[in-house]
Amino acid sequence: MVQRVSTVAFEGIEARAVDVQVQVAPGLPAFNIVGLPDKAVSEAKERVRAALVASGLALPARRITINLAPADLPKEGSHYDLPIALGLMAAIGAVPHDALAGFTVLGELGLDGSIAAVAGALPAAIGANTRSEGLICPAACGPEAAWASPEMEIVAPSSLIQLANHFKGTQVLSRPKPGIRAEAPGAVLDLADIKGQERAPSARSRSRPLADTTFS
Amino acid sequence: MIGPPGSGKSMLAARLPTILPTLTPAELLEVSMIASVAGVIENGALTDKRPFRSPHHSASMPALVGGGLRARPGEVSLAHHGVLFLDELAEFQPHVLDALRQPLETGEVAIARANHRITYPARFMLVAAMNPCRCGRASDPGFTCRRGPNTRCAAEYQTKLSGPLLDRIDLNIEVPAVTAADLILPPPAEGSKEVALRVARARAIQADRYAALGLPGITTNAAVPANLMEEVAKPSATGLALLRDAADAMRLSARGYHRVLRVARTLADLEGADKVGRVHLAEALSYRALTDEIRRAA
Repeated sequence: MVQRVSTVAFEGIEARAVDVQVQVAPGLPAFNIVGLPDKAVSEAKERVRAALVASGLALPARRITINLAPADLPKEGSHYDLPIALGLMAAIGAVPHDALAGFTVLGELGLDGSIAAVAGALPAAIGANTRSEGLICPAACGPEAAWASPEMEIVAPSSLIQLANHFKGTQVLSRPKPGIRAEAPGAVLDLADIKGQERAPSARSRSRPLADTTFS
Repeated sequence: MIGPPGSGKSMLAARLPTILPTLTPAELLEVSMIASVAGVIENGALTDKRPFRSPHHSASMPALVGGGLRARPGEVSLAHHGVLFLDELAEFQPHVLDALRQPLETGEVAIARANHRITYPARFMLVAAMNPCRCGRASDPGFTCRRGPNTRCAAEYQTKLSGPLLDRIDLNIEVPAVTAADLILPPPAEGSKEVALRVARARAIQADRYAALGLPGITTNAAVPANLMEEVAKPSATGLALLRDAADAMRLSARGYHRVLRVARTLADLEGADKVGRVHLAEALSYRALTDEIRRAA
């Protein structure tokens, strides 16, 4: 049986849907990732293995094949760790089979099972929202992804165990709040700091149109 | 901005974002998407401040326009809807600067590589600062350069910039050196807050005008198509005569001509004037005079 998890690949600022297919089949024990992975994606193998062990799970001694479809689109970045790990967990029954349906997943795993921040959470969230899917992203990216839409479901766990508990219902995670950066105290710049440039014809009055015309 | 070292060019540029209005929600989303893909959002928190990017002059072409291993957004895209400040403009590699020409005109940058064909938005305000010559003091009164006549030294230095790039710079100003007497004076009465208010008022006028003309999405004079610009910035009769003479004398390109109109329209907006008068055109043309000088020296 093939377990499917959806994730994204970035093309500029567009997030294209990518299907992670996980098959655990009888045969010589092996762990392969196919579908044009780059170096960071191929290395996901080791991170996923270690993160599952740290979470109290072991990879089954069977033939594991991961396919990233569409297979001709180059996959780059470290955000495929989490969908691969979740697909495996679903395939071996650590999380319910249907728990991942309707979610776009991205995140990077640490060897201890923690989920680290990745680039591109906002475009991924917007992409997921247009496909009317929810999003599972690292806790650090939650406030960013929450900007995509106030309605969509967002789960932002900080570790694999937290996420497993969320699906089991023992520790349900709340939706992250959209974050806005607080003003850095102290370093406030002001035009009034500049002296000696107001002589006629002043740079000050000149810097005014500068602000308006060239900007669009 | 051209001026001797220590005259406050970088300080002026760094304070430019403080007089700009905050990002609208749509702009905020666009800016944040680029920042997100580049991985420069800290702790997942967005900001409605306009971006201000000031790359060092050793910047390479992929760093500036985007590219590299994963076709990442460059500085021009990270400065989308904000300010790209190039300090020591003449020290940048010429081919890197000329790569800015297309994004400056179209507001986006298309990166084509063997494995990637990607278009990033790049509608930014370019601000550049440089010294007038290598020693930086060519414009000081009474200064004689060791490298020959001041004008030749300055011309040599300034010809590092290509004509087409200079043609795309609307406002050229000379920032004079500051004396100790200036620094002792009390701070100017007008700070960023007052100027920002004026900017916001002018922008509101522009947004209203283009909304009335049925052009949603266009909120500034800079974004208006050229044919419409000729209409909304129709100068008075005396202004037209001035513009015709000046265009001949300064050998304005077609782009230069339209850009002068845009600047004049904005100056009129800042004053709250309905019509573009001769005085607005004269001021707009004066900002172009320096470009003309450099080109003539070359």
